[in-house]
Amino acid sequence: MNSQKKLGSRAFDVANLIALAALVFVTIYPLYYIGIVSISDGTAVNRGDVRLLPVDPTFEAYLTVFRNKDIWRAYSNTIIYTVAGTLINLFFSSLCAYPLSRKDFYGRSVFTFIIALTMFLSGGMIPLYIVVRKLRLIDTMWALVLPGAVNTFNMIIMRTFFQGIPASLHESARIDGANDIRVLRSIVLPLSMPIMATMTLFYAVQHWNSFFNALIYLNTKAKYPVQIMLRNIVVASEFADQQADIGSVSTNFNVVAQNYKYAVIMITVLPIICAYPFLQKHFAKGAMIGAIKG
Amino acid sequence: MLFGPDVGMKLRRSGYLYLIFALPFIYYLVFHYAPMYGILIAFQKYNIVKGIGGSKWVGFLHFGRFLSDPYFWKLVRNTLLLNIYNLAISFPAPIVLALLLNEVRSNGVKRFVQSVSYLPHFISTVVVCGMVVNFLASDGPIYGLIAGFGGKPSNFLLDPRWFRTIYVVSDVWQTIGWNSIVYFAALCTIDQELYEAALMDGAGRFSLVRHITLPGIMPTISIMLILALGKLMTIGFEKIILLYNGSTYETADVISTYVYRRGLLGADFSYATAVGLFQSVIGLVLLATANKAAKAVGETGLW
Amino acid sequence: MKRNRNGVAVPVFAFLAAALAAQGASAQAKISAKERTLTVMLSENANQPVKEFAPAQQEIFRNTNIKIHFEPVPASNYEDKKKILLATDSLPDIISVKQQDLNDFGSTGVFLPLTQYLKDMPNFRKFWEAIPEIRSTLVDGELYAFPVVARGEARNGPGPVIRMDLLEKHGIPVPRTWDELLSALAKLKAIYPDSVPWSVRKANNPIPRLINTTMYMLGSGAGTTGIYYEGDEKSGRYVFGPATKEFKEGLRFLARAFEAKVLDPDYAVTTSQQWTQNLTSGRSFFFNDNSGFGLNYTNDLRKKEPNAKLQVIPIPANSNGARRAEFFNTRLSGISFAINAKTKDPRTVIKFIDWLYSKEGSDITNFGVPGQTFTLDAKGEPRFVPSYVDKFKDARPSPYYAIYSDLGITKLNFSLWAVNTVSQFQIEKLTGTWSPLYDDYWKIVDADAAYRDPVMDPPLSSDEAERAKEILASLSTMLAQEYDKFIMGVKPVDQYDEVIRNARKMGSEELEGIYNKALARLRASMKG
Repeated sequence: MNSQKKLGSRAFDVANLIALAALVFVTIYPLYYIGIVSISDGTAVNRGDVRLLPVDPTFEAYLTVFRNKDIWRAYSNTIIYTVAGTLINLFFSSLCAYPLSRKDFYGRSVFTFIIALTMFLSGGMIPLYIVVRKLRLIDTMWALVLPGAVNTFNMIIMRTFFQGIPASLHESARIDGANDIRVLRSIVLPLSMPIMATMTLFYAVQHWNSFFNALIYLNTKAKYPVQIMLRNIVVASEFADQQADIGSVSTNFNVVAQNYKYAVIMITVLPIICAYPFLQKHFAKGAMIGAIKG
Repeated sequence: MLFGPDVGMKLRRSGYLYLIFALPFIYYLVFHYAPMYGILIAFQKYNIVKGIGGSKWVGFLHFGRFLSDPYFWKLVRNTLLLNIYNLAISFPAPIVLALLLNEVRSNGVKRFVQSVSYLPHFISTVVVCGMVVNFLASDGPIYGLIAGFGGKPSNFLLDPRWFRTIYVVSDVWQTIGWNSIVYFAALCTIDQELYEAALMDGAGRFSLVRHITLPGIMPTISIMLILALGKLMTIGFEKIILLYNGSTYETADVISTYVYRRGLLGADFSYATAVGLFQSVIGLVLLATANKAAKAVGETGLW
Repeated sequence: MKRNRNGVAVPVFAFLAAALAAQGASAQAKISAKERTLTVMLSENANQPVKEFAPAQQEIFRNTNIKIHFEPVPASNYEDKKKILLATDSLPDIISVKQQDLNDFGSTGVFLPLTQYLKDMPNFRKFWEAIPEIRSTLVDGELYAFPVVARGEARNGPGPVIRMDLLEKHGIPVPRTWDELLSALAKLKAIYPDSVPWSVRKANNPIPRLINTTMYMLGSGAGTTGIYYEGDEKSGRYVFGPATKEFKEGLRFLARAFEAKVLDPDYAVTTSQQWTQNLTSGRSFFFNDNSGFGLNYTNDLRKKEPNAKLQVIPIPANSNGARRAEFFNTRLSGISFAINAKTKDPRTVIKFIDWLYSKEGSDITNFGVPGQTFTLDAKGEPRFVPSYVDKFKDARPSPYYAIYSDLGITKLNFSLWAVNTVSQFQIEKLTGTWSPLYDDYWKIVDADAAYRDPVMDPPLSSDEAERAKEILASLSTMLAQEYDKFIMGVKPVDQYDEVIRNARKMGSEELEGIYNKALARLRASMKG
């Protein structure tokens, strides 16, 4: 009986690994392709000669991007916005999710409903812009981090995790005389490292990739995050055909070379890939259980 | 019920919680509720300079125009179907991935697969669609594969029957890794002792999953599902615009793409707002229904 | 007027230029008594980044005391931002807009009405009188934005470009009719069975690109929404192409091309990227699109095949024996600059804009700093200084874009009488990228009488525009689903009659009526 179980178990493990390997291949190949195109010669890329290996490797595309001084300043802007934004996000989201996770929070259902409603009902960009303008936040960093201080979807996930913390912990803290603020700070947050790591990742990536809010609220080029410029490059000529352009003068060869576009993509993706391992150590099992024991 | 006997005590007990909640609540009031008056644009003939205060009221005119559009039902049907197909595949996929990854013993393999699987999330939609088009082109690998097996290949992007499949498959590819992160984090919160106890009782691997793992992440799954159902009437236009063409309008043309094309012919904020409101209200109803249903079967609801 | 080699009229007021140049800027009073900053929002093309306070803007400041502060927005999302700023009435001093924006928002009062200032604008008035098309930009009789006038723009348009070297190599004569073109491409297909001779890129306008570029040449037309102008300038009228018999015949031709496997089977989904690849890898031999691209592609082709030559041919004759094609608009560039109705001291801004229309202002905003980056030749026309251009010989993506970006000049920057091809040709010749192929290209296009100048659509009243939009929304959706069925042979072309009937039921004739009525209004107003 046991050996049968072991065989079934082994077979499953093998099948699992095969499925995962297939997934890895399917997700890695396109990125690999983007990588080799980005270091291939422009003309070869235009001709479609690049298949499995880079052709006439050259870092020209990367050099062109980095020679643009605007990109460097934009990069530092992005880093600032991402760090500041994520901290604000974590702060506000925790403050929002914790009370909502407590069953004894009077009015909990009503508040949750009011907040969830905002995911569906929205006045749209126009009144939001007016509000931001009235608060004098236009063309400042705050316009990028405050309107999105809490992503309701993320906050709800956070709340779900907080709800998973046993009530007994709250009770024992209460008995020890701690008020709710201390409970949040000293007990709940330390136990929630997996979800905080997840939220950090979600929010940071959101800021890193965001360009729409910066596009709308920022007017000074010196304040632009890097995504605005990069997107302009990557999207160039894709949507250009969409505009009903009567009488546009012709000889502007507006197509941006594909190797350049792909270099730009690599530049955006690589920092995240490098940052992720730092967060991964928080995805450790049983982080909470130790607390119950100890 | 709201002003029952214990209200005073309940309020006092939540005192500190109100303090904590105050700041984010103000945020919601300022940045979500204050701008909500924008919804009124849907009932007006919006004039920019006159603003919402000074624009003419037209009641349900825009809604009427939208609902009586010859394509209305088709657009609604396509929006719903595309979302339902997507939900059916794209929703469980990350859960399955998280569960499978959980079964892998080697930490290194786990981390590697996880890191790689979310990479597609970072490739912008424009590029992903470009890749899909290349993939299905007449000089691309799919053609080659079919021809190699002796079949007669045709470009699937031109066939309305294949649009939903193409959309969903590319969506799964792009989101499976990233969406599995939440479930992976949820798996971390399951008490290890439960596993140990069950193993000592002689439970098999599948039994562990059925009785410990799945119930352990069920609250997360439940919430995610409710939220997803609330979005059934909404679908973004960018990806569809890049993948559709005249031949596939039959299945590919959704509410947002139709409104987008209309916007190209001339800006019409009121109409767009009205359509958006229509979608939102339906979404809300769906959300409320899903929430009630979840609570009825004993799962965690949204509120 | 004398016509030089590029088919452009030499400005009659060249003497004014000489006089101004001799006088020098410092002799006249500055436009603005004290320093003033004007915010200008425009679209930033990825190939030409906008610099803050570049040499041209410095020169402007020196001359007028006005500083330009740019708010560049990436071209990929310019429409989004512009719409929100317009809808919330949060415009900068000066904003780049398209005709559609003027139609949509002109009457709301966000833009400064300009007709009242015409009398104070001697330089702009010259264009106002010389270019009647400007009247087509009026909204309810009022001018709301200053159009960017093209300066010395070489004219070209969508045209047929074919691999001349392959025709020569296989002894196929250059086709002079569309039918001959079809058989020439069929012959090439037989010789190169893996090729897709005619490559097309898709566009997401209501009208697919293949139809947009080819239908007019074939005898019908579709413009960008279906409505197009048929006939000569004085007596023609607007027709809704897809609801006509001529359109059906055009579809018949395209269906033949598809069936003969000459037309790319993927024509409905090919992206710009793939299209470029098809032509530069030799997989395709012919395209009918912006013909200037043929020159760029030839450069790429020659890296592997030194004799390759993608060159434009004279427009082939259609089944009625007529040769017809349309240039891109070369007098008005399609962009305009509107002024915020709330801007301070509008008179100064008006004076400034008028200065930008002057020869002096135009020279600076298109060639940079006089004496340093350009000098005036014998005719008073600006020419780049070769030593300056030389610094950018190896710049990417191209020397001219790099120079434009460095100096802050030309059409994609803030210039109201803007050059594009003039400067480009100068730079290409100075850096050696100009080849005899380019000369041939311009000669062929110039000599081809089949091209006509495009006609600018008449302004519609807001009710008319509303109705037109209403009709087009569902009409073009219905049609978009039909075209490919006939071209790809899913339905026989004769069944297109039913589509025509449907289109008429859905309002195509009413649409024609709207446009023709507006046209009649415009003509009446031009007479008076």
